[in-house]
Formats: sequence, C-alpha cells, structure tokens
Amino acid sequence: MNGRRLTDADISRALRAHAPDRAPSGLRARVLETAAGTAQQRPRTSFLAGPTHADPRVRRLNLLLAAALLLALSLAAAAGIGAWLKQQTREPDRLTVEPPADIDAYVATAEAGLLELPALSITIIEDGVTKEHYAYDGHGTLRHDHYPNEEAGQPSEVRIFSGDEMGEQRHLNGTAVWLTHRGMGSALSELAFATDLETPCASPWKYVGLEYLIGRPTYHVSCGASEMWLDIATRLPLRSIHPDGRGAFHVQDLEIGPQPAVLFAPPPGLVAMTDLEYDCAIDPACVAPRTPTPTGTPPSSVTRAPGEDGAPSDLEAFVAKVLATYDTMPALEMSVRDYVDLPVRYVYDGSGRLRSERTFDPKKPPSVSIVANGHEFISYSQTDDGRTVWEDRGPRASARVPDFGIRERCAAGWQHRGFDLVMDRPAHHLVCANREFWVDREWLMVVRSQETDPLTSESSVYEVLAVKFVLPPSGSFDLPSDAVYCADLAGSGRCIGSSYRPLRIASPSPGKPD
Amino acid sequence: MDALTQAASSAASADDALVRRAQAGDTAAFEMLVDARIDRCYRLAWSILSDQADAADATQDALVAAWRQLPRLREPASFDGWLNRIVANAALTVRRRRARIREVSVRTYADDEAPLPELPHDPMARTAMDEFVDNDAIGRAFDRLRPKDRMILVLHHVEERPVAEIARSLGIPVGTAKSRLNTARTALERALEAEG
Repeated sequence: MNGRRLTDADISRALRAHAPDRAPSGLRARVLETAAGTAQQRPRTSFLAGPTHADPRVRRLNLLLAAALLLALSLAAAAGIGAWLKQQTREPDRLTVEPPADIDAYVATAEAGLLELPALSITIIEDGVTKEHYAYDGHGTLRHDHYPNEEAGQPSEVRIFSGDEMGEQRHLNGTAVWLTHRGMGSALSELAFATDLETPCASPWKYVGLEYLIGRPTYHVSCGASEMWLDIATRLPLRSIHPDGRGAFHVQDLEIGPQPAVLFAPPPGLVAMTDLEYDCAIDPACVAPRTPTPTGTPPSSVTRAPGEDGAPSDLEAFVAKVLATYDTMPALEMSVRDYVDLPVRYVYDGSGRLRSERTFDPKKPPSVSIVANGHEFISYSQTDDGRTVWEDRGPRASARVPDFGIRERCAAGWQHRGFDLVMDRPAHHLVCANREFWVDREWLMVVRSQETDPLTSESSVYEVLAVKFVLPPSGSFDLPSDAVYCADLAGSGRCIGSSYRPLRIASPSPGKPD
Repeated sequence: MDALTQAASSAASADDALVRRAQAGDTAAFEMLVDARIDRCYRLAWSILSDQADAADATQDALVAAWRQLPRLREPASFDGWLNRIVANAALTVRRRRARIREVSVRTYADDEAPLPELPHDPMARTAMDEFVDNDAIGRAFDRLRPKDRMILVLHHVEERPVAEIARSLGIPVGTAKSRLNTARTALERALEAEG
C-alpha cells in the first residue's frame, strides 16, 4: 500500500469499512425523548424572512429580488455554457510529431515536473461555472482568486499559499480579516490538485494525439474514460474530463512570465489573525485563549541552561539568520526522534545530498530516502516476497537538513523564553503562538520543535538526539547495485507478476529509468 | 426530467416538507428527519472525536440543539448542511471539554462482527484479504490524522457530500474546503506511509 497514490475509491472503501456503520442503539430514543421535553426557539419577524413573510408587500419584494437574481444567474450560466460549447466544438489542429516514448511515465512524472514551473498565471473554468485564477511566482508562492462565475469582476475568495502556510481573506462581523493557517499543503500541491494533475489511474495513460488548446500544443491522453490535455511547455493540464461526474475543467488563459509582487502579499488594510483566533471569535463556546500561548510542558530532556543570557534583539532577523545557516550547513550525521517517536537518521553531504532512514519496525530494514543526482528515491521493504523495492519520486534538485518548520514570519510575534539545554548544549527557546523551537546557540540549527494543539493540549515533538559533523560514509547516496522498482505494486505489497525492474540513480532526467 | 432526477427531486421536496413541519413543532416529522440522519451525524461526530461514547454524546447534543433552533432555519433545503455544522460544533465542544481526560479507546470486534475474509486460493489474484489489509492500513492511518482532516474526509468520502455543501456546513469558503480536502488526503497518504 505504501508509496501508492490513493484513489477516491480506495479512500471511500476503506473509510466506510473503518467508520461505525450506525449510531448505538438507544441513542435515537434518548435524542427524541430529550427533544420532546425541549422548547423550540422561535425567530423574531425579519424583513429577510423570505417569500413566506406574512406581509404581502415584503413577500412580493423578496420574490422580485429572487426572480432578478435567478435571471442574472441564468444569463451567467448561459454565457458560461455558450463559451464552453464554443471551445468544445473547435476542431484542434493535428500535427505529425512523435509523442513521448513512455506516455504513462510522462504523465506520472508531470506533477514532479511542477518543481520546474516558471512564474505564470492561469485561469481555469471549473464545471463550466466558477472561474479560478492562479498566479505563481516561480519560487513556491501561489495566489488563488476564486470567482463565483466567469463574468464576475471581483474574486469572492482570495488565498495565498507559501511554504506550508495558507493565508486567506475572511469576514468577521463585517470586517475583512486576513487569516493564516499552517499545515495546508503547498503551492504546487494546490496547483496540481486544482488542475487534476493528481488524478490517479489504475491502468496506464494512453496517448490520443497532439492537439492545440488556447493556441498551445498539448498531449491529449486518456485513461479509461478520463481524459487530460497536458500543455507540452509546462506539463500542466489545460483540460480534464472525468466520466464519474467529478468536476471537469478547462484552462481559459495561460500566460508565462513574472507576476507582480503585490499579488503575493495579503491585501492591504486587513487585520491579521490566526485560525485559532478566528475560530474563537466566531464560536462563543471556545475555551481556548484568544491570544494563543504555548501550553506545552518541556519534557525532561530540556532543562534551563544556567547562567545563559543574551537574547537577540531582533528575533525575526535572528530566525532569518538561523534559516540562512541551513544554506551553508556542513556535512553531518544527525539522529532525530520524530513526532510519533520514530527514530530517523539523516546523513547530509554539505552540498544538497541527503539520506534519511526511518525505522518503522525494528525487525525490518529502515525505509530509506535519498536525494541525489537531481532525483529523490525511496525504498520500501513491503513486498510479500521480502524484497526491498525502490521508487523514483521524481526530480528534486537538492535537499536540506530538516529545519522542523521554523519560519521567519510569525503572525503572533516571536518571543524569546531564555535558554534551555538540549543534548546538554544551550539552546535559544523561541515561541511563536503554539509552536516552540529550540535553536542551538553555537550551531544556529533547530534542535527541537514542539507544537501544541490548543484544543487538546497534545504536543507533537521533533527532537534531535545527536549530531556529528563528519563526512558521510561512502556510498551513502548511492542506490544498491541491485536496486529494483516494482512496475505493478499491489496494495497489499505484492509485486504483481514479479514485475521488478532495475533502478539506477545516475539519470538526472524525469521518469523511471531502467 | 429523467426518472432518477425526478425521484431525487421528489425526495428533496418530501424532506423540505418534513423540515417545515418540524419547524412548526411537529415532533413526528422531526423523528423522521432524525431516523434518516442519525447514523451519519454519529459518524461525523466520531470522525472528530475518535471515541464512540463521546460521539454518541455529541450527536445527542447536536440533534437536540437542532430541534431547538430549527424554527430559525431560513431555508429548509439547506437543512443537511446546517445540521452537519451543528454536529461538528457539538463534537468540537465535547472534544474541548474532555481534552484533559482523554482516553484512548481500542476498537474490538465481536466474534460475529467484521469476520476476516477467507484466504485466497490464487496467490496472484487481488483478493478480499488484500482489500481487508488495505482498508485496515488506511483506517489506522486515518486515526492518526487531525480531527479537521478526519472530518472532511468522512464528509466527502463516507457521506458523499459535495464540496460546496461541505464548505457551507463548515462555514468556510469553497476553495478552502477544496484545499482542506487536498491537505487531508495528502496527510492520509503520509500517515499511511508511516504505518509501515
């Protein structure tokens, strides 16, 4: 199962099997009995009570407003459908160029190809109704404007993705606020999702033909009844069709080139809030503090460092300096305990090559990830015949030693909580809302992070257990000479038809080399 | 209008009529609405709480709150989204209340529940056992997700609610609902990798 992209059917089937079928017996009776003894709350009369309003004049006005809205929506929908039909009926030009040799591998690696995506803007019409505009800066930041229909002049939703943070505009008691969430994926993941590039396919993708959409050459590919048109220059789908009723879309406009920097900053004048602050502001039952403060209790491995002082005066600048340290990190070996207590070992060569080994089961070899030669490779020891298989995760120029998610910006403002001992060494204790970081005073690297769920007070901790600044053992970034991948790995770990193929690390080109 | 669309439309109209009757205080109509929805309300609460007893409490709180506030619902057609939101809020309230006395429940099966599928005769064929193992791994990975990830996966993949309705239920923009679904799905895949 590991390493395989889950289909909607996989998730639905598994969750239906996992979730309880029905409510416990007796619950229905309890609900109805309690409801029967509970008085309903009657609303006061309101102008906005809708077409059932007792006043016939208000009722007529509401009906007229509804009719006008319906008419406007009908016109917008008709215009949208007309434009879509016009595009559908356009006969694409046929060219006589050769398709990629392995179209299935080409599609499979298209998502990884997004790492090379240049700055661009793209406008998508989804389901023939909504308009989605994306602007990408070419460096990992994406802005998404959602329009309720094709004709709308102003977006109804604005989002900006950067790192694992998403900012979005919301309204709170009539005031526009800018809300930031962490752990919301990434810009490229969002773009891949929006363009259906993540669509898994049980059977291989097949080449249909070379076709032009919005004046751009595309490879038209199909898998069963699903179809995609992949832009040759960017590998982004320009059109996608799914027979199962999931949203079809087509790209209305694609422009490659630098995007104005102002697009990637929150709209001016908005009040910045974290999602916790927002949730508490709209939920009177919220018991979490309005200004989140860290509630985690440092575990016994962290103790106050005696006699240490000298907190940096500009904490944002200090965090920027810490992040810059990772750009010039020397070769090292590092042992980490991750948030589910799994041991992880990292080997870094000081120039972008990284090996990580995660031990899920002490009786089995660790799962290994290697970033080297422009690719990322991962091994699994899950085949039912005991063989370890490797997977080429696609292009990845280089990797850095993990910084455990520390970022320069902190909406709630950085705080310095003194110095603690981590690995018996003094470390700055920095706090950003419910996230805490310990930065080794000498090495300027994050040696511990802790994130506390404000609702449950549960903490997720990453902790560095040991660091040695040494050159990596030879062969750390090489695949084993007999490394294989499985061309058809079943969910249970069976390599169907023993379809093992050799895998080599030498090729910097996308795809599964063999 | 084809037969399927007609059937769906008349079912929706019947539900609207039940909601209007329940709004007027008709307990029999409310009973019929509860009968059709209590299981999915319970699953939604369970997705947030990971605990069957807590989920039952939250479901009860939510359905009684729905009865009390029903007359304030303006659009009977939006009843389901509105109810989901009440259930989610009730579950989050229970979660906050019990945050400090959290117990980990271990789901056990009675002998006659969820029997293991028979072992395959053909070792190369994908079997019910494969599916069972897959489902079990995904289920365990699901248990490790954050409540908001679990909730959106259950709404979308178990209750088959469209994204626009999920957005309305959770009081978030449609684009955010899509992003959350994508994030939850990615988290599930990562958790599955970590399952080993």
